[in-house]
Amino acid sequence: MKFAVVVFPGSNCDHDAYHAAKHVLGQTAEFVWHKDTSLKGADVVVLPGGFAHGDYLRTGAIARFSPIMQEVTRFAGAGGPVLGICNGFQVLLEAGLLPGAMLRNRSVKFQCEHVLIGVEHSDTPFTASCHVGQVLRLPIAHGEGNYYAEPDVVERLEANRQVVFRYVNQAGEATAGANPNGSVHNIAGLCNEARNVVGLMPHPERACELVLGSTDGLVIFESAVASVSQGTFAGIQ
Amino acid sequence: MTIADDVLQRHGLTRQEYQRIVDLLGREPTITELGIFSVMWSEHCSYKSSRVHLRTLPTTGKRVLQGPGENAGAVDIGDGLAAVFKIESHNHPSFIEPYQGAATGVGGIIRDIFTMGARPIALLNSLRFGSLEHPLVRRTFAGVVAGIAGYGNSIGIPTVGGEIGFDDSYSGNPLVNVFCLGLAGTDEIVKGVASGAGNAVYYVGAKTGRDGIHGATMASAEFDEKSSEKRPAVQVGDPFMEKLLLEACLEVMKTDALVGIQDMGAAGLTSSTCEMAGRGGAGVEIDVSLVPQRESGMTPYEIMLSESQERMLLVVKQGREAEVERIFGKWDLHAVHIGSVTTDRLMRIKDGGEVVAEIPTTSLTGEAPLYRRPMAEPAYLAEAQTLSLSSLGPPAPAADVFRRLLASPGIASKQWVYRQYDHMVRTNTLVCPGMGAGVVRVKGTTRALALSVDGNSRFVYLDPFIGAQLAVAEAARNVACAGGQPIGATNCLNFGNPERPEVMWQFARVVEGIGAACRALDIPITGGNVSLYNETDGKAILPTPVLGVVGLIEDAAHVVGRSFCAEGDAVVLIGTGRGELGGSEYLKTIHDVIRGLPPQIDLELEGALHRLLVQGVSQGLIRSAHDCAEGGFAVTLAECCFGTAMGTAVDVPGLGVTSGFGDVATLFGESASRAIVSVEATRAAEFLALASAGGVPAAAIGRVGGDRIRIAVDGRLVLDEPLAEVEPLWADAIGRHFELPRAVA
Amino acid sequence: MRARVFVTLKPSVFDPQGTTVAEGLHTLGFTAVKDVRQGKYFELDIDTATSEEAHRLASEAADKLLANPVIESYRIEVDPQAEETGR
Repeated sequence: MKFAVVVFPGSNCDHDAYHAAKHVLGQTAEFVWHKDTSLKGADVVVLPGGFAHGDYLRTGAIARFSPIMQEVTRFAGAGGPVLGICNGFQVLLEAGLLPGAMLRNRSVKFQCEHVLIGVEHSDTPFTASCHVGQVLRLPIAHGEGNYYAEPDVVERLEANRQVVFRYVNQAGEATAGANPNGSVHNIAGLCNEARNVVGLMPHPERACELVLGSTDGLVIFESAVASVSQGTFAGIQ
Repeated sequence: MTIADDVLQRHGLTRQEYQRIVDLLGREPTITELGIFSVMWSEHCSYKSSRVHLRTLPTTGKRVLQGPGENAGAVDIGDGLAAVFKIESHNHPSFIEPYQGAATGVGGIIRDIFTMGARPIALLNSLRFGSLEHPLVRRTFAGVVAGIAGYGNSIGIPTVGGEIGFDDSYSGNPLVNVFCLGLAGTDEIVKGVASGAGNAVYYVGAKTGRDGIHGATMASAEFDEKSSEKRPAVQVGDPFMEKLLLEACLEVMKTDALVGIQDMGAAGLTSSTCEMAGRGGAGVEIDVSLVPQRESGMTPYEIMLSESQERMLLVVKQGREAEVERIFGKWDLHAVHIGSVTTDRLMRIKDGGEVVAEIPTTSLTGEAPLYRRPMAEPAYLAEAQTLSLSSLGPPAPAADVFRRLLASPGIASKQWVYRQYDHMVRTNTLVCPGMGAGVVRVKGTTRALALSVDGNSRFVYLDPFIGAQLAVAEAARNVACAGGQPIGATNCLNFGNPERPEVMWQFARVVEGIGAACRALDIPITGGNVSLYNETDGKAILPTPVLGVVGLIEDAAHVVGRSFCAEGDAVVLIGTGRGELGGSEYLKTIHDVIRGLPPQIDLELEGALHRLLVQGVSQGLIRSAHDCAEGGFAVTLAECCFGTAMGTAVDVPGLGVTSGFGDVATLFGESASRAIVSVEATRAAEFLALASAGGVPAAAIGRVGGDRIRIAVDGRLVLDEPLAEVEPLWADAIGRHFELPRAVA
Repeated sequence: MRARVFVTLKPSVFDPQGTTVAEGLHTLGFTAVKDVRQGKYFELDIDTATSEEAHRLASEAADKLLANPVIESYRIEVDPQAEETGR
């Protein structure tokens, strides 16, 4: 199966996602340039982290208009699995593929450190191999990871089981102390109503090898491989 | 026609230098030519005060692929790969505008690396500030850190380590030295050379504006009350533009369409043009009316001197122009053909049809002034070197000293700072900031590179020759502690006004010291940077040489940091302490003096220590290693415990220093060539045997465990501190000046 | 025509940058400043004949790009007397 890693001008973590998919997981992976109009038969699409378009205007605000996003939208609309990591999550929000928006971290500073996130639901292509309540130790590295949506939207997200990852402490509790950036309801990642598009602020591709400090990110990629090979989330041709 | 004094002064030229220009040209220079000479002959670009001394440094070795003279140095690391690296300063701009000064410093050093054909993979920085008690210093500190973070994070290169020092002498003259490491194939290194008559000269990157004009001359002068008027000379950086340039240039370099490439740094279009021509033994002709401009009405003078950021100059082989333009076009960059290479060895600048400057390239580079400035031992030195401990009064209790040292900003945790740096992007970082040397793996091989930047300026102030050797030793030792064999170094030499004989004497002695240490340790210098005139109102900074050392780790499976790993592990102290308090953090923090002699340095022993560390790590014997530096043995031991939730109990021999300072000297003396390592208890004897075979003194002094830091001297308990009480003093010391850090996981 | 677009965070959205600026002002002695909200300001030079048309175009630009409707709202002023840009 094939991972497509979309590259916007200013994407930085494209190589990291590619490395995780290809060299760690042994899958086929290909870069797709933002001006391309084809996803080259990918089974899974990854929008990686970085500073697409320098984060000008707002993070992800300009990337959403790239030609490739039309294809990504079509792919997502047909049920294909799409993973937005950090800046990629921000692009999905601006593109309207996920609800809500990102604000500056409450500390008004960029933060690079490890956090703990709890897996709330395992019925998405990127958590299929997780168990509910599983706690993953992943790095964050962002200045604008403070997730916000209007209260009625947040209520709907919770009721629809769309909050996929939440910042938690070691005991799995979503406390204020566990929240690194002020995100509403400690939301670290969520999915769309159809559950095939997932965005998260932490970087699973930075936690796929023990030498880097944690392998907790592997399961997110492994879930995608399992979901595609079992046909639980069909891609498009 | 004689030129007015104030015009010369504004251009930073002496009357003798002006006469030399007239002699070289055979006539008076045009205003554009005057501007060109003023920047190329500035201290920052020509190194006129420092060249005679720098020439004595050791720059060759079996691994050296590129020594000083190009945009960065390069050493062979095996597997057909080269480590390309350099350190540079951006001091004066960081005082004027901290965020942009630091940000553009990062941008500048990154360009120096990728212009060589290397992909940058790691950044480090060495910073110096005044006291954090002062609001202006806090503003500068926060701005510099934010600027480094803003630029480095955006362009996606991890900042994996660094050091920060504090002293009042830096209040008006902060230091921002940035180090960058990149990787290139050994046969893919591209030089900054222009050759081949008729080859096209291309400009690519941001449009040229009026920012930074005379930035090079500003960096070659001291500050005074009028310094705030210099604000327009500071450049504004655009990391997104540089990211595009980086990717596009690396892509273009994979074709063989380029003859040479150089970034436009200090003195912008001027320096890149004439330096490339100089190296190629050719001439270059460019038409400034073709240069993309973002402000209207710019004169040729302004275009040539502009230091607008994120611009590159390329020499493209004839016939390959369309290919190069297409690759840049993919990245939405406009590569513009602005001139060509000639054979007449002249730098010819045209504005449309009119020639506005025509200068033999050698007169700007090779024939730039070379000064052997007068030197004299400083008046302060003899007195400062005397230290009478008894005159300091009775020593404070060890526990008090311990706590105060841990909380002093120079020693305290820098987590408030490096938490703002993305240190994990590119998924190569094996050892993160705060753990000693930064370590990045080399994908596609089994290797890794250990990196450190160090320089204790108090030691240099008290004895420049010894202090400089200690700086080299410390940087190399840090790298060896991670398991890396030092294979190359770069230096950034930050000093005051070289026209003062005392400063020039310090500089010369420092260069001698660096040379001596590098020769003894077999570490070649591959390039570096000199920053002079770091003074305000006649008061200079402490002389501050910063060494950046690169170490090669053959097997990345064996890499260690400085933290203790497991309860029960044996703690081993390597090296011999002499209780040397001269120039120590203890004397400065507790008694507010910088006095005495710096610690002795035995370079042979230091080299043996490095070999022992590298061997011990590669054999999997050493589980953690931390070199003894500021604060001495006790502080080093504490740092090994912090972040692990484990304490330690050790017993060390007293050092026989009299006058009641015995315990203080044992605990906080900063003797060189020492390290604290932890080893699995069952293998301690094996490690001690290895040390003995290498001729390095080592002794098992205790165990990792418990929740206290307990140090006994000759069996007598002198320090017994609960980890839970002392660690927060260390962890929060810097953040409390801004806000408390909130650790999450 | 020049259209000025003022983009601000919706009142319900927490503004950490504005809060930081307010705290900074307080330490400088501006204790009378109770609160600060930080926003963005865009100047659009629009080639069109009427202010109504300029207003409409600027609105559309704001809806599509300049403002994120989830967290931001905007208002527009049109200045027909404004000269062409020539900084």
